[in-house]
Amino acid sequence: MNVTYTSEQILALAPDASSAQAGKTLAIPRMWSSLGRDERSAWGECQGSGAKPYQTQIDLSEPAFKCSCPSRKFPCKHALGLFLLFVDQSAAFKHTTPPAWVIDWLRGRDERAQKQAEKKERPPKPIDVEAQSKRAAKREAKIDTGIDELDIWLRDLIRGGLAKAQTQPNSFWGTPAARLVDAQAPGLARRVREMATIPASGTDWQERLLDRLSRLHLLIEGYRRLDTLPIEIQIDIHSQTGWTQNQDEVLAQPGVHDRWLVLGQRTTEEERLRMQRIWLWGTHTQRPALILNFAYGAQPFSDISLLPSTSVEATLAYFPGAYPLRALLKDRSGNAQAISAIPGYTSLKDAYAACANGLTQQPWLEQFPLSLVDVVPVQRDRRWLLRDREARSLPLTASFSKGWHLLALSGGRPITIFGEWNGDDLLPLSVWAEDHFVRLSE
Amino acid sequence: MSDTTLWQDLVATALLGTERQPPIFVPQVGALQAALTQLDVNDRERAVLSVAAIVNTYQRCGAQPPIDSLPPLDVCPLDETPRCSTRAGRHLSQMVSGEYTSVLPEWLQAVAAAQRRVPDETLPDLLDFGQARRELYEAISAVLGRRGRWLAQLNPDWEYALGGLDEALWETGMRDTRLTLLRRLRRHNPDRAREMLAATWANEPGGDRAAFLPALAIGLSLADESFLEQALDDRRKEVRHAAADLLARLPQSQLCQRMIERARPLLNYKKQLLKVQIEVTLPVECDEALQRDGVEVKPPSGVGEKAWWLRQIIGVVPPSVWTQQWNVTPTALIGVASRSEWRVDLLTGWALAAERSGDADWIEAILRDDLREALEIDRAQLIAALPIERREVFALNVLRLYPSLNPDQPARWLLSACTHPWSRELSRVVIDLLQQYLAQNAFISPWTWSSFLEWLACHCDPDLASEAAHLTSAAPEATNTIPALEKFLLLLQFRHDMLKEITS
Repeated sequence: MNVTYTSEQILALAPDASSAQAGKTLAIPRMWSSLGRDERSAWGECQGSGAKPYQTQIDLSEPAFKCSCPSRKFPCKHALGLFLLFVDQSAAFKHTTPPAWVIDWLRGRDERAQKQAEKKERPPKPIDVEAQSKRAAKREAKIDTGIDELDIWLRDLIRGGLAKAQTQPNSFWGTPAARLVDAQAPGLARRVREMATIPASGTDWQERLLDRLSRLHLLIEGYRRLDTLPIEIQIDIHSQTGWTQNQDEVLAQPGVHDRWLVLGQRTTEEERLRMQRIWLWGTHTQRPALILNFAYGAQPFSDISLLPSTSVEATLAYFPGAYPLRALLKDRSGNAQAISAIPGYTSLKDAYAACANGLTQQPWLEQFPLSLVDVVPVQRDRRWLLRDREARSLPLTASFSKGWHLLALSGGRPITIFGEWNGDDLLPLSVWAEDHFVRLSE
Repeated sequence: MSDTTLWQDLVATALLGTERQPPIFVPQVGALQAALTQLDVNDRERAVLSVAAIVNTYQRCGAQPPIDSLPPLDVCPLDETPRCSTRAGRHLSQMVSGEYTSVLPEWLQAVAAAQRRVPDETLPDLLDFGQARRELYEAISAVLGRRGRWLAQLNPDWEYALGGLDEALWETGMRDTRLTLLRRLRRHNPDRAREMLAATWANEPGGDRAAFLPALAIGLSLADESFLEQALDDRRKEVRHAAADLLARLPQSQLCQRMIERARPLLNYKKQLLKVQIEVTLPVECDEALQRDGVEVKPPSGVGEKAWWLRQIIGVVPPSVWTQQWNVTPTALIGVASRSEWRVDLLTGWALAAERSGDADWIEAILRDDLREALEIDRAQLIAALPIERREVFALNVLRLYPSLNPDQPARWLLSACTHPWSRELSRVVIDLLQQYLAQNAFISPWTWSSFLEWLACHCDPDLASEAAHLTSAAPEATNTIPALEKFLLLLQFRHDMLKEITS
């Protein structure tokens, strides 16, 4: 069965709200002429302000878009409008052979895909090893200094007592974080910055703060005796510190082929940098994967082909580490299909055990993907939690605003919930209830 | 010693600071102790952080999900009513998030008529949205299905939606919930509803009595008369007035009979040779009995005291009383009254009486005279009292006589009073008039047009959506005109799509 896209999924592709609105305005048959489709694509011509109508087309297998309009936004309002129209009134599209402009585009896409595949086969360009190691050595020296300073700051904090943290100004956290950025250790900087809100976060803040501080300490200790540790842990500590791994090197590894279920998606924003986290689950390999997409400001995400509630046949390359989770899409084949269930843990005990397993291998894991089958959402003291068949429970993130939606979907009966577990609480992203997939929009 | 105590000691030490409080590490057992023995306890800060890291990871890895000791929720029984389609649910989401919101009442009604219910995942948004919209309470509670009712009884904010479903709420619910219950019950079992109201009537505060009584307009019959007669003596003015108004809508009621007796001597229809006229005798006084029957003593400014009593008295007399008594048609009688110096008083009174009795011939005759020379009457109420078929014919006739949508033309108030879904014929006439208007004008002040266009889009036959698309080509290239039209067309198209999605 081919996937059926929904209007929300399409509108989620819009680069901004005005494009989404404009797209809706164009999703009416009378705005279009020569609407057509075949198995792989849909197309139409839209009369714009120019003399010649714009030629808009969609490759449904991914989806991918092309339009002859001059807009710099991607996808443009025409592409969005055509796609919305296609899912709403597919009868308006004539089943026929595509016109030349559609065939040309699709052929171009296929050729490019093939070239890329060939490029991956070829050995990479020789690298100036000497210059590279020089650069690395310079950066390492900077990080060493940064880590020493961080250690002193951390010790001062423990010596003087956490109680003082409650009255500290923002700069107490901001200054060391900025110095860590200068020391080219952005991963450590982020950990320090994120602690700033804890002292004002209510009951048990001191426990949460000590928890974070101790994990940071663990990272410092690990970094200082990196050479004594297994290679996977070394890589983890490196990437936690903020070294980015070379994506080409990651892609050059042998991939993991599977049918990947797209279980959830979440977009976060930090200082105008938007990050999209897409969680996958391999049906044969039985392991999770995380795809990250980045976009700055109003820019659209470059890859918009992984839609929650669908599955794709694809090969992923995992970033190495003791507990590999993040991956890159190496290649994909065939159409996306609608998924028919969310697989997962049927008892919270098992889910906890799986997280413990991940944590013993990689103690800095911050988000763990969890699918919980047969849980019932309940509200206790204004806090939502999930309850399994053995009456064991797991709290949902306090800021999660869709507790009543979960309850409505469940009706007191067990449902399947997928979300991100941070060790303390779960942020639900998707639900499987009464044979359908519901994405919890943010 | 447990690892929990160790952790708590650590937190306490860290909170005070190692300067003041040297850490104490109580011995542990097994792997945890093995890890702890490797530490250098003389380096206090490092020891605290290291032990915290170890204990914390140890605890996280060994943690068990806690038991929820409270009883599980009662499971919602399965619902036989089918859910409406996912796409229909998305239309609903659009409307409750503020887009095409004016179509929501129609959507709710169509879903109820198709015997469907709201998709589960949209229930919370609809229930939240409805909270501040009293006029939608009944319509919302009709499409919730079992799942929605189950959900609403778990959230006190959504109690309103249970009104009309659970009679026990009459005892415990809030005013709005009880009103919804009363109105709904009144539709299905008017006697039972009145008995329910009567049972608690004596103990209801005045504000509640005033809020509840008008609900008896639904399913009103002579069976309500004795209850309403008692309410004429209520302590609260609004209640007395509401009761008098309801009794005035029952031509067989004692109150109507009393008014007829009072009115007969006041009007005299005289034929002398070729001259026909109505002689008017003004009432002399407004005694207590008259006031009890709902007549207000003090006139509004610009109306004489006695003329004001006259208007109110004939406002209760079913107008057919006069046409039968004098054997004359409403049109002829109004023609005579129009020449009288008492025209305004007679016609204002008759307009109220015609609306109360729902006498279509009278209503049309009054509106025709009003078109000739405008009166201060509630036209919307009069048109609403016409049966839909008569309303359509009347509207078509008026539009034929006054074919313009200009803001000063009758089409404005007439169409605004037609609250029913318009027939294809009427819709076509309206769209043609819109085209004619656009051939000569732009929407000069778009704000006066935008709400009118929205009204047109909400009432025209949505099947004409694609037919209406040619309007944009007829429109002048003026600012605001094309966007306003696009909005009109989108709204019409949306109604078309959402109705199709519910019925398909």
